[in-house]
This record gives sequence, C-alpha cells and structure tokens, in this order.
Amino acid sequence: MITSLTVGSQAALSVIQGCLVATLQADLYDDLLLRIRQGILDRVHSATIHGIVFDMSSVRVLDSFMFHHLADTARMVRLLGAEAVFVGFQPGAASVLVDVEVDTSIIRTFRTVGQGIENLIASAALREGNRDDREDNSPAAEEKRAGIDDGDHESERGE
Amino acid sequence: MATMNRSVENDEKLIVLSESWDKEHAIIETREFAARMGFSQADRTLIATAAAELSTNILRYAGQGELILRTITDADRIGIEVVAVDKGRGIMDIEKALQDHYSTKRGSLGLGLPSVRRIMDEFEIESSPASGTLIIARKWKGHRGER
Repeated sequence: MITSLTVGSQAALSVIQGCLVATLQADLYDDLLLRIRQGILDRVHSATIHGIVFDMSSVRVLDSFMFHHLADTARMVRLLGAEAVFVGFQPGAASVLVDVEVDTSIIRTFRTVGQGIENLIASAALREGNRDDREDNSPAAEEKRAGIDDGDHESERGE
Repeated sequence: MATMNRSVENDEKLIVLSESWDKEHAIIETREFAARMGFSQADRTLIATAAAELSTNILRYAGQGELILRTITDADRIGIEVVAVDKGRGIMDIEKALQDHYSTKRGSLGLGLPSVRRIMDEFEIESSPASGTLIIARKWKGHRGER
C-alpha cells in the first residue's frame, strides 16, 4: 500500500511497506526543509512507521545548512523511536559534502530506496524481536525471568 | 514573490534575497550562470553550493541582501565572481566566523563561510556594524579545484 501526502509544493511523503519515504526536490530551502521536518515528525509520531527513507536522488545542491538540518531531523526521528536512512546521493552532492568537511558519519546511507526500506524493516524486526523476548510468556522465558528475579533478591539480601 | 532579477549585462546577474525560497532561486541561477560559462558539472555544483551557503547566511543573519554573479577575466583565464552583500549588523568576529564550522556548528554566525572558502579559489570578506557585510568569492576555470 502506498499513500502519499504532499508537503509544500514539490516534496512528497509516501508510506511504502510501513516506511515513510521522503522524496526531496532538486533545490531545497529553509522553509521547505522545516515543513518537511514537521510532516515527517507528525507522521512518525502518529502512525506505526518502521523508519524513514530520505530519497536524495533529485538533490543536486546540498549545503552545510541543509545537511545539518536533515541530519538533525534524522536524530529527532530516532528520538521518536524510529530509524532514518538516506539513499541515492548524487556524486556531485557527495563530493561537495566531503569538500566542505561536514561530518557525514552521523547519517546512514544506502544506494536505493529499496535497500533503505529493507534495512529499516530488518532493524524494526530486530527491535520487535527484543521486545518479544521480554514479553515472551513461554515456560522457558518464565523460568529465565524467575531466575533473574531470584538473582536480584539474592544480591539485595547480600547487601 | 519578492524575487527580482535584473540582467545588467550578459556577464552579470543580480539576485535579490529576502524570502526563504529566494535561496532556491539563487542556486538555480548560479548553476545556470556557471554552466553558460562552461564550468564542468562538478564545478557547477561546487559554485552553486557556495552560493547556497552565502544565501543562507544573508537570509538568516541579515534578513535580506543581494547576490551578484559576474564573469571575470585576467590575463589568460576566466572565472566567476560571487558577491554577497547585505546591510545587516555585520560579523563581529570574522576570524571566528571563518574557523572550522565544527566549533560554530549551529545557530551562530559563520556557519557556511568556511565551506565557501574551501570550495572557491579566492575569498574576501569585509564587515562592520555600520555598513553590513561584503563577501567576494571567485573561482577560476581550469584552476586548481576543477575536476
């Protein structure tokens, strides 16, 4: 299922396989970036979204302001409990980001939207898996929890 | 929209910056200007990025100003000159503004200036509280940095 929502005039958000895909237009500016951020945070907050893919394939020029704005948006998404990845950087944009020496290690990148979505779903499954472990009601898990609890009591008594 | 463009001559272009979206306009105009001058694809992106940084500086810290694109020549080469001018409060500490942007990463003056200096071949800045800020950045065709 793909649902779309237009943010501003030329940026679009789509939900594909539970991931929010933000397709950014060729040339960005502050107000548009703020609207995109707001749209993304609202969607991540209100819906069950595994994560967000920033599709950079149309972006030709990305200055340090824009880069930091997007990287900060990714951090905000993470605070809301989802993941963010960037895909499809153009060679020119990549080369400039290195030339201007912004810290690009703070974002995760993939080649295509498909790879980005795949990765987000895999990380979400991992997070869900951890949660399931904790909520596991099988006898084995009960026993394991009881064991841990006993251990805690032991140590409390020991103090 | 407040964007107004006036071609003074074929080899000069004035871009008025007063609204957020004027930055997008500045990027497009700069890339086209550099393309007409025959700069490589990679250089067009670099020069347009410098124009983007300068535009953001103006829009954020001075509120409004102008970007002027010019073709310049010397003995045996041609280049592009990007002039950013505003009547804002000026940059208090230019040295600090030009320091690596890690130290002035967010919310303070000078965020984009080290980037502009790295991208372009020549970089000049004059600033005072009375007259605002004037930045001149040049890139030569076939000079170092052309890839």
